[in-house]
This record gives sequence, C-alpha cells and structure tokens, in this order.
Amino acid sequence: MAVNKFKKIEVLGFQSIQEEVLNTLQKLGKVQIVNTQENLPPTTTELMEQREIDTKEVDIKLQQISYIINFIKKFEKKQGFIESLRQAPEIITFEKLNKIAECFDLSATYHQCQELESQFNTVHSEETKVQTEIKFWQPWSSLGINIKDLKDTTYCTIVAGTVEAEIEEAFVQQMEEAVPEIDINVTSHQKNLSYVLLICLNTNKEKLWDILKHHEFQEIKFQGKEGTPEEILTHLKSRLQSLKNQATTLQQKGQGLLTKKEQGQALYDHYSNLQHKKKISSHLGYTRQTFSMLGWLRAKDEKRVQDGLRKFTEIDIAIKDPENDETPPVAITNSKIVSPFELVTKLYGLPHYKELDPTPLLAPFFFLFFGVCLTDAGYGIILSLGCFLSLHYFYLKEGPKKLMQLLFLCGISTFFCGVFTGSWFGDIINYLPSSMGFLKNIKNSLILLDPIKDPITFLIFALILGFIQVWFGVFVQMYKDLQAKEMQDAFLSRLPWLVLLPGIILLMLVKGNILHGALWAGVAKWSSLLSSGTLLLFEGRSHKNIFGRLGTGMLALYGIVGYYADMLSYCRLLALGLATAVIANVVNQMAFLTVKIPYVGIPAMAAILIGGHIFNLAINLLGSFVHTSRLQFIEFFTKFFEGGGKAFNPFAIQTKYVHIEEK
Amino acid sequence: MWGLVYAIAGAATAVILAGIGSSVGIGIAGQTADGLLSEDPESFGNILILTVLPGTQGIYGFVAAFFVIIRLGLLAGTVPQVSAAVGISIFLACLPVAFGGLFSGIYQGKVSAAGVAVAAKQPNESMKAVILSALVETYAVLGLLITILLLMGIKIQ
Repeated sequence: MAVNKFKKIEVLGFQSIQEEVLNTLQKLGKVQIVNTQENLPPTTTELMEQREIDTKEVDIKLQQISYIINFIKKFEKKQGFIESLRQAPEIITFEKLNKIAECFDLSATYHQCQELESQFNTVHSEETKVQTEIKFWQPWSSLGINIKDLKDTTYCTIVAGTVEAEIEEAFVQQMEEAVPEIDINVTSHQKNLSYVLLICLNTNKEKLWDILKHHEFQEIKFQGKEGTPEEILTHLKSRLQSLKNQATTLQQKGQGLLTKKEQGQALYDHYSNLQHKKKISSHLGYTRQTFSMLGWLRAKDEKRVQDGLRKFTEIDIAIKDPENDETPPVAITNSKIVSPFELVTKLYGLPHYKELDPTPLLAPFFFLFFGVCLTDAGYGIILSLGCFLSLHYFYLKEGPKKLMQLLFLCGISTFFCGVFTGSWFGDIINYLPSSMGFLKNIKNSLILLDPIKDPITFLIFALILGFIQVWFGVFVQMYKDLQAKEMQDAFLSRLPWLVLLPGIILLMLVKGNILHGALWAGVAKWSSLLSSGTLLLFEGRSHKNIFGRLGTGMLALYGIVGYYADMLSYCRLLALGLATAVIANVVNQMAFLTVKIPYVGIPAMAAILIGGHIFNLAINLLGSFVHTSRLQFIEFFTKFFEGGGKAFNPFAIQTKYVHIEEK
Repeated sequence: MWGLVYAIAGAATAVILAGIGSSVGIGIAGQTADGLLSEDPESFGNILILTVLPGTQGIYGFVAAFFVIIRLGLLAGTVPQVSAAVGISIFLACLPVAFGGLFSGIYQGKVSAAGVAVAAKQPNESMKAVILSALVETYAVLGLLITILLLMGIKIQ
C-alpha cells in the first residue's frame, strides 16, 4: 500500500558462473543491477576493474533482424485496426527460443532480403522509365513514319513539337499563308497541347522559325529509336508488361519470406535481451578470477531471489538493508482498486524512497473530480463500457491497460455525476415521444442539482471540493511532520493553517449573515485570531532577530492568498461540467431540427447525434483528464509532496514481439 | 431594438475571438507536429493530443454564445425585447471569454508546439507536456466561467 521497502544485494562469485548467474537474474526479473564502480567505496573499487563489454556483434545482428522484419512486413496483408489490437503476442519457451536462435540462418536471410529489395528497386525504376517513354511517344502514335527517316534532307527541313491547343488554328493558318509549300501534320491533342510535325523547304526555314517562335513552339527531338512510333509503343508496352510480371514474381518471393517473420520477431527479442545482458555486464566489477555485482531488490522478493540463486555453490550473496545515505530506487504498490491511479502519480513523478505514496490520497479526489468535469450519465456508460470491452477483448500492454482501468473507474463516477445533474447525452430524454415520458420523470426525480439552471450552487459545490482537498493536503503534511517527529513544524506551521483556513470561511459566513448566533461568531473570531497569531509569532522561529521573525510571520500570513487562490482554481470543475452539458444540448438540438426533413431526416439525425456526441466525449474526456490531473499536481501535491524518486527498473526479460515463458 | 443588436454582437465576438485564438494556436502546434510526423509517423497519437489542446478556447466561446442564445430565447421563435443597457451588458459579459480565449489559445499553441519537441525526444513523457500546455488554458476557463456567471446574472426584462 505504499512505497516498497528495498534491500541491497551484493554478489561475489567466480567468472566461470557469471553468465549463468546473470541469466538466472534476468529470468527472475527482480533485481536492479547498479554500477559497481559508482556505488562501492574507493577502497573496494581499487581492487577491481571495470570491463568495457563489446556489444557490436549483437548490435549488428539486431540491426539486421529489424531490417528483415520491416522488409517482410511490406508483403503482409494489412491487418484491421481492431484485429491488430486483439492479437496477443506469441508465447514461446526459452528452450524453443534458443533452438530458433541456433537454426535461423540470419546472414543468409538478411542477404536474401537485401537482394530482393535491390531487385525490386531495379524493376521499379525501370518501370517508371518505360512509363515516361510511353508518355513521350503516345502523342505521336498516329504518325506512320519511321523515326529514323525524320531527319533534315538536302532540300527539306523537318520540325516536330507542340503548340498550345487554343492557338492551333491561328498557328496553322498563319503558317500556311506565310510559308509556301509547307506540310503540317497535327498528330494529336493532349492536355491542351497540340502535337505538330512540320515539313518545308530549306529555303523557307527562316520564315518557319519566325512563326514558330512567335507562337511559343516547343521543339521535340526524336533520338535513338527506330521504327514508327506505333512500333516503338508496342515494344515499350510489352516491355512494361514483362516488368510487371517480374514485379509479381518478386512479390511472390517476398510473400514466401512471410513464414520467417515470426521467427525473426522471436529472434529480435532474443538478441535484444542478450544485448541488455551484455550492457549490464559492464556494470559489474572484476578481478582476475571473480566478478562482483551490486543491486537493489524489493524486500518482499528477497526469498525468491535467494531461492533462485541457491543452485550456485561457488558464490557469496549478502542481502542488507540500505544505509541512511543510500538512495534505493522507488516502486509503489497499491490495492487493486487504487493501482490504476498510480498512472497519475507516475505522470508527476514517483515519491522519494522515504516519502509516503500519494496515490491512495489522490485516488478518491481524482475519481470524483473527473466525474464532475464530464457529468453525463450517457458518456459515463460509454466510457466504462468501452474500457471494459477493450480490457477484455484486446491485448494491451501494461501502460494502456492501466489507463483503461483508470478510465473505467472514472466512467462510473461520470455516470453518477450525470444522474445527479440530470444529464443523459445532454437533454436527449426531453426529445423522446410523450409515450416514453416516464423516462423523463425518472430522470427528473434523480436530479439533485442542474448546473445549467443553477450554476451558482454548482460553483459553491466545486469550491467546497477545492477547500476539502487543499485542507487535506496541509493535513497530510502535518501527518508527515508528526511521523518525522518534527513537532514544531507540525504544531506551529501546519496546525494553525488547518484552523485558519476554515476559520476565515466561518468568519465570512458570519459576516454575510449566513451563520447566526454568538457561538458561531465566537468560534470564527477566535479560531482565526489564534491561528493567525500563532503563524505571525512562530513562523519565523529560526530567526534570532525579532524583526526578521515578525517579517517572516507576516510573509507566511500572506500565504493565505495562495491557499484561497488554489481553492478558486477548482471552479474549473463547473466550467468543464457546463461545457460538456451545453455542447451535448446543442448537438441534440441540431439533430432534432433535421428530423422533419423528408427522407434524409432520420439518417441525418442519427449521423449528427453519433458524430456530435463522439466529438463532445472525446474533447471533454481530454479536458477532464488534463484538468483533473492539474488539480492534483498543482493544487494538491504542492501542499505536501516532494517527489524525485528514481523508478525501480529491474534487470529482466523485456520483449517487443513475443511473450517468453519458462515452460 | 438596438439592445438585441448589441447582445448578438457579444455572442458573435465570443465565438470569433476565441475561435481565432484556437485556430492560431492549433495552427502553430499543428505545424510543429507535422514536422515531427514527417520523421516519425507513429507518434501521431501522442502529438494529436498536444495539437488539439488549444482547440478548447473555440469551444468555450461557442458555449458562451450559446448561453447568450438561451438567455435571449432566440431559438424560441419570437424576437425578444431587449433594452440597449441590457444589450450592452450582455456584450461586455461576453468579453472575458472572448479575450481570454484569444490570447490563451495563441500562447497555448506555442507551449504545445514546444511540447511536440518533448514528444519527439521522450515519447513516454509527452503527457507532462500536455499538462504544462493545459496550464495556459486555465485563464480561458476562468474567462468562460465569469462570462457565464455574468450572463446568468443579467436580468433580461
């Protein structure tokens, strides 16, 4: 239920068994191995040396495998999104994994993939080349002349090229008028260009070019080909077809590789664990014959680790409690219902080793605030149901799983907040036909407070929640002081605030004539006076100078602004709750406006309802999560939480693709 | 008659200014996000959240305008009678969310854009950038709240 206790483990053994010891520890996954050199006193480290472990070989293998996996993936049929979420990783035993690692011919497969890829690239580039050529020749296909013969002769000039289709007519007319005995062939029109072949006598060449320039004629030269354009095109097309066939064959070859994907993925995990182990080996200290290892383990895992290492006889294991000046890593454990909220704590940062875990403290607030921000029974149901279904039908990793659990819980509080404010997908129940009026009655009978009609009461409710959490934060700090035996801090710096914060509120209520009677007036007056007096006199108790002391006290009293500003910050609960409700109402209003349109009315209404509510849920879900977290981090944590713990990161089997099991 | 004009001008101002804030903000964040996306398309989920964050200001403006519409009973079909003083009051009540949304949207966009860099280098920490970006939004929320409270407080007739 809190920050876990840690113990330090020291292992000393012969290098002959080092590999086996590390394997055992990796499989156990309970020990975080730290750098020996940095964590042992110099008198000890002098006797040892550290070794740079070369991981190059494994690195290269990993690179090759990820190349193979990525290459093979291209040939896979695309999986649907839902389908890919449902797919659980393959379960593989260590034994089978080792066998795969032995049998799999990595370098052969790697070269096979590389060759295949280069063949693919050649075929593709060839294909694009042929396609550009086809595009080039296509406009000339009606030209029944061998290209080889289209050269200037002793008496004739031949020019081919394009003009803009718009001016073609004018161009031809001018040409015929100006240049005698000219032959103009317009072969085709493509994309507002006209393709023209012109033949005239050499004597008229200059006139010809004059007109060509005038019409922005683009000359095209035919080179390096033989035969009529028609023949060339046929040739090119058959070439393209054969290239396409080649591509299909290559594609089939690639699909043939798919059988190796699973093995490749298993292998990737195998080698990445090997790499991890090698990197860890460089943390150890070495003498000529022995190795020494230093690590942290959770106190509750002590027995399991000892049992795991029992099979080694030539080894010395010492497990001790941490010294005062040592900082063990931090791991937190909570009950099943609170543990999803660890996500929020981790978002901010873990507590330090000797601090209390804030997760159970923030959990009820987070749960409630989230619901108040979203306030809609319908959205609550959808949220919880969605999370429940994805938890059951999808394979999720640790992080997403926690998030789903958290949102499932928050969906429940959203549901209840929605019921009490009478919001079911906004005001959708009001639009139902009168035969279903009983639903409206049920809904209305459950309403405690309608934020749209009565925002002021809702605002006060939000501020009360704020007061409770801020006050509770100071209370936790006092508890921490008492635990640390800091009695002065507890009674002179925290307790006065615990009295003053409600005292001032009472004072305001009395002044505002909301609370009556001399008793309340007395309580309000004296609690405020006494507590603020204490703060003024004692907050600066470390100062010897009386002015310094009073100055610090005054400054501390000014902190009152901070506390009430923090409480006011909780009014965002109202704003976010209102935003959800108002947008939901607008969606409904728009949807039911369309219902009277003939034929398309009902589908349009359904589309607006579904799309609109999904949009509203998504945008407000994000807002609720972010703002609820912020209230924990900035308004609540600042009262007592220090943080700064380094997360426990045990040396363990870590996999990306497969799930490795012992048996 | 002029009262209605002023009131509608208020609702429109809220939507327009807060909308500008959001569009500029998302614009800034989105451009940076696209930069990251070109390198690492798989980070889309992470940076989508950062990019849509400045979008809430526009929604707040919309909510405020809707409150004006409800208060005036514009959707009821009859043209409400609003005095000039009430109309100007409604106009002024709309300003907190309008300007709060305008400026916080733009600055939230800038913080989000910087947060995209966090998502690029430390994908696991991107939620922290989201929280930082949400700090800016507080002032749009406060603006909306005051606008709504003022609107609820104004006596129409």
